[in-house]
Amino acid sequence: MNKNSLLSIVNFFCNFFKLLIGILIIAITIAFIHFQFDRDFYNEWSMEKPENDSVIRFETEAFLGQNAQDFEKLKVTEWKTISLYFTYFKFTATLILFFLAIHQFGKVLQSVRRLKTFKAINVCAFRKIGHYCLGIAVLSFFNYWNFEKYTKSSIAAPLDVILIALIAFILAEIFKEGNTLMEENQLTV
Amino acid sequence: MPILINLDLILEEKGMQSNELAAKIGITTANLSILKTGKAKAVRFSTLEAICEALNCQPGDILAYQP
Repeated sequence: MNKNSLLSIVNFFCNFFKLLIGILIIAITIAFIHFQFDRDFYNEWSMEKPENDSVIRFETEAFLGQNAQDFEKLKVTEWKTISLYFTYFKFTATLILFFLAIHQFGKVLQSVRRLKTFKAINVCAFRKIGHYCLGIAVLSFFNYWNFEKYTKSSIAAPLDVILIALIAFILAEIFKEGNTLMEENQLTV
Repeated sequence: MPILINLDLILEEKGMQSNELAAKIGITTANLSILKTGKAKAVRFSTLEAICEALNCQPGDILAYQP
């Protein structure tokens, strides 16, 4: 597989994920707005108990009733307004940041395809990806789910996202060095 | 940068145009302009040799150090 076909495939997936995230944001927003007006429509809808798989986490859980097993499935209609709004805005903001990070990565891929790899714009793009990932990490830090008979709140450090942010910042520094070398090479007579 | 390029002076002394020198030493006029204006970060020995040969001068005539 040559370089260009690999880049084309990755570029295709970038565009595909951007489209998917765009559709997801619109769908969630429509469902969120519809939920405000017609809660009864979602009577049959239920969701899994929220879980956090981060290694570093602290969580508290409380429920009304005898058995914790009763809360494996949570009814969407029992979702408290503040928690619903909090989760919606947090999730939407996370998706938007994902979209922006993928968009920046797509721009880097485009410049590599045009053989303009070590341009200052790519340094900027990697820094932006790092900042977006840090934004996602901050958003993922605190979770709050409040249903009529079940409440869970947690604080967790999303190490995977922080690691991606770190890698993006390191790549930005590497590309900055590459940019300096390229400029020096161009200015050698 | 404290390294000065006196190429303009030598060219005037020898009565040669920039594009003529560029054609003689085989570099573009744009690159020669980079060298003349002091924007160049490095000069290859091969380029310096070609300039000295074309202008019949020494590297010290073209380059000067001003602290």
